[in-house]
Amino acid sequence: MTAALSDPIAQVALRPPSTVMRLRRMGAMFPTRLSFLRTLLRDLAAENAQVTRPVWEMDEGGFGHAVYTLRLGGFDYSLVAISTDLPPELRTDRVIATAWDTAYVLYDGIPDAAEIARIVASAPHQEASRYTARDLVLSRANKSVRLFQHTVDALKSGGQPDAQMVRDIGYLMRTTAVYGNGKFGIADRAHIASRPFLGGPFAAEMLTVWLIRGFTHDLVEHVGGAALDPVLKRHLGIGNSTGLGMAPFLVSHPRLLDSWMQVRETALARVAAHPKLTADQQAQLHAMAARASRHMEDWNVPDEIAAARITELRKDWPEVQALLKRSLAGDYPIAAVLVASKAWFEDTQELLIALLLEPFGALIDGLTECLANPFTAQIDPAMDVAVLRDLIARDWDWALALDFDSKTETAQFWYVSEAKQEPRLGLRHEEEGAELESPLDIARQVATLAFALEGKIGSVAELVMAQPEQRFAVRRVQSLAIAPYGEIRDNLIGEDCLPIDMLRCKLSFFGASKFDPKSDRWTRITLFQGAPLFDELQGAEACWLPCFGE
Amino acid sequence: MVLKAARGAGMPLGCAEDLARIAPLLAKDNTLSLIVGLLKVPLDRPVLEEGSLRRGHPVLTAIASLDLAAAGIEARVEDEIDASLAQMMQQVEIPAGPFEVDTAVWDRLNAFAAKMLVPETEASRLAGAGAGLTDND
Repeated sequence: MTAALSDPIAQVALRPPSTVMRLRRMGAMFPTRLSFLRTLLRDLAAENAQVTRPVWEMDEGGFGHAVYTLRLGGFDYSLVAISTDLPPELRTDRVIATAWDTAYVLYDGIPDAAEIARIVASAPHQEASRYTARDLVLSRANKSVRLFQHTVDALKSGGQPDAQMVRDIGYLMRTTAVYGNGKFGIADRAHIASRPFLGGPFAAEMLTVWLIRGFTHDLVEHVGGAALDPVLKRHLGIGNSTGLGMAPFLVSHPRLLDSWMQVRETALARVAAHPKLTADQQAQLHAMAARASRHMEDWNVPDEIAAARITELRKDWPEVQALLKRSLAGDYPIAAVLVASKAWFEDTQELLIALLLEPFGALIDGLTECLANPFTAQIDPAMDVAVLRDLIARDWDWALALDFDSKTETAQFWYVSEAKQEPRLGLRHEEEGAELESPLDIARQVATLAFALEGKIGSVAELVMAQPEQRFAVRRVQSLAIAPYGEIRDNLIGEDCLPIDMLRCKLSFFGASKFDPKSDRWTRITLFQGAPLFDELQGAEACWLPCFGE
Repeated sequence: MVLKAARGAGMPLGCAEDLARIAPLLAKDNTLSLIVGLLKVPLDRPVLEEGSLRRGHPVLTAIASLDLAAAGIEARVEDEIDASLAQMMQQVEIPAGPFEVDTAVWDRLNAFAAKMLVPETEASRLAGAGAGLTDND
């Protein structure tokens, strides 16, 4: 008997937010098949998207502009790419730089000559220019000076770039910003939110980066005068340097964060409910485990803490593979593996979870439709303050347990710097400016609200009329009650808060890999490394974790 | 920008969020200057007297009137601006931008927002508050 369409999909209980929403675990996340760039690649493949390059106006040195176009979901999109001759002293990846090797606009439609000229004139200046609603995404990238020049030289001499260098660096250029959603006059996200395939979170940004990657391949082949070996080319993704600017997003979008986490946790819960695996599914999981092992061999970083974690992962992984061999043929094998995985540290657990999702696209890929969340947190003014008190006691016990009179729990403060207008993190008890701090002190605000509620009666409406400064915390408490994965359950102003954990969580949802932390507050990553080239989209299904040579 | 400006003007964050939500409605009608005016008004809390909200900042009053109504408490607003703000805050559909904003209005909002910016110090820069100084490879 086959299941009726209305039958619910079996799933086990979701891992609780108290486990999932801890910074340490979020800082151990890996890309999955639900990540935004994997979702985009599947969509491009399903649509049989064809990328064309109608404009290529480049001089011998690789300076000029190009236009790439593709049709997706009934709409045309174009990447306008501009390459300029950048003096080495101006090349910095900080978001506050003023000049870059290349600049890009993802354009809504196919630009005519006048629109191309407008973008070519404006995009190299990035934030200093104004854009139009036809411009969907604005970006820029700098060359990996070592690898780009080496590749050009190798191609010019009739050879190929050194495989070791390609493996170790893994990209020809790094993006230093990918702006969407209304910044500097470009289109608001609402403009494309209802379009097929671009409605998902950061889908337009991911499309832009994939097209940029193809441009970097074309550019190096143009300057080098020869074609890259496809195996090497496939390993060349796009690098990215990400700093604190990305971290507050997770805090300022609690409903969206909840959706991302719910999708991933629901996927895991569905997979864990499988009573038996087919021989093919078992074989896929073993193959993916071997792939993860090869990926880890390629993943080498100078940061001592990160390197030690990778070393521990490598040490654990043969045990993980042995566990899979013992368990996958049994009953409820995924659930059994998950229980056993608690013996390892967070990084191993999270890599294993990403692995376990891989063979089950038919069961879980549809969940990506729920990644976007148009709702913002609402306040329920009719709620009795006694109910609000109960919610705080139920969901925020971890925040109430913190001592915000202590220096350690208030050691840091988030702020926006006057000089760069970028998010920063300061030391409260050593630096000035804490009176202007940004509201990432969610736990402290809720603890303050709990104190303010003591002995109060009446409705939330009456409370926030008399104490409007509590409105923000009230909304967070009420929002978490319906979006339980919407809050990071750690003190973001405490001494132990490491912003790198927030960055890794968000970047793993993007689909980033090869995390290469440069401090506890910024990291290099790669995007689309090992992913299909423009003419290889049929391979979109199998690009979890890049492995050199595959 | 409106959220940042309202915070810079000292408005409670939860109220600033509500004001920022309706900013596109004002920007679409080219009346964003209304917000600049509102940010200059003292942030007095409204008082509920005989079923009317009085003596409060228009944004705080508009929000309180909607909240109290939702809680089943009679709370009339007597000022036209308060009522107009409350009406906008009830709108579900908010238009999408971008919108052309008068430069003078933008500059005024920017000036309010700038009040929340923290001057960078050598100590904060050396602490690596953002990214590295250069990232060339």
